[in-house]
Amino acid sequence: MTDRLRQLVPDLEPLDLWQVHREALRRRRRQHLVIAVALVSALALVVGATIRWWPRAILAEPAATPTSMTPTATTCPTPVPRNGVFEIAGYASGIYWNGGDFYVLEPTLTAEPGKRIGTVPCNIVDIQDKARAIWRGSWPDGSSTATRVGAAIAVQKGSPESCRIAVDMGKGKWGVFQSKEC
Amino acid sequence: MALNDFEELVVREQAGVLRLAWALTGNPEDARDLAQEALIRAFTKQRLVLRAKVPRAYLRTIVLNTWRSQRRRPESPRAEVPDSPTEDAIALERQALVAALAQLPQQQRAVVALRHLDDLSVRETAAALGCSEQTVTTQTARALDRLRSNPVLRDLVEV
Repeated sequence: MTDRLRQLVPDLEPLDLWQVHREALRRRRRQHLVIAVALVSALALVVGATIRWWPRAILAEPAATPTSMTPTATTCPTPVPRNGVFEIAGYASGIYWNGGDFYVLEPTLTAEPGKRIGTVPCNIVDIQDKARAIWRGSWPDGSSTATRVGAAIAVQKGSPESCRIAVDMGKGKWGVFQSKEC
Repeated sequence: MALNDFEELVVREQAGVLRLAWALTGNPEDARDLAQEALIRAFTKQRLVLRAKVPRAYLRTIVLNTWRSQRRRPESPRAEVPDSPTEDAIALERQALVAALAQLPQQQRAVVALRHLDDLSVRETAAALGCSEQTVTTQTARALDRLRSNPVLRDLVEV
């Protein structure tokens, strides 16, 4: 019976196995590429989530033996590459104030600047990116990753200074920064 | 260049894979497309194929899975139309077989294709379908009963 049914199957032209093989290799390469892209994206997300709040320089404790520093007129630190290795930090908008880390809240809260309490002495991004190095010591009060040197720092009306401050972001705009302790 | 184990398997089984693909699709063009797609998939997971208990059965499993994944809607019998009525003496029976297979449930169709058109053993068919040998036997009997109800095929399916 099997033979009689099999006779009904038409003669089918064999496949080009070389073409099949080539297509399989092409698909496998594409799969590997997709996996690699997914892994890199996942890695980038993890790294981004880890450093999204603040540059490592701000969060780091002062080094036991600070990297060499050349004092400048503004007393901003000048980091130098360690062992000749360049480093680039990831940044989020923040300001170092009264020994604490403050992060920008805009646009969730409108700034209402009150009494001026200081100015920004150092722009952390400019300094570190120029040096291609990360300062692992502490930064002077008011140092910021978000605004220019000389920008005014004021209290935020209705909030304690230890919790929220308003900072001049330039072009007449102010931003509200909140301490991570609040 | 010497063929590796997988390539040897594909060369050896290609004719059977094409027959199975024809039984599932009902026409030579679709059969070639299905077989090609299945073999491409098999190439990309050739280690799994070679590690399988019955590699030639696993190759058929890939064909069946590819066929199932490609089916978008219930099909209607679609036998190839011969160029001329006298060109192929068994064209009528072939069309009847394609139409009858298309009427069978997927499992019975696969069983008939594997057992009677591709010539796999009961054990290999069970391995390809992921079911017991008892199920293969039962499904085969039911499928052949239904094929016998077609007058054109009755004589061909008689035991």
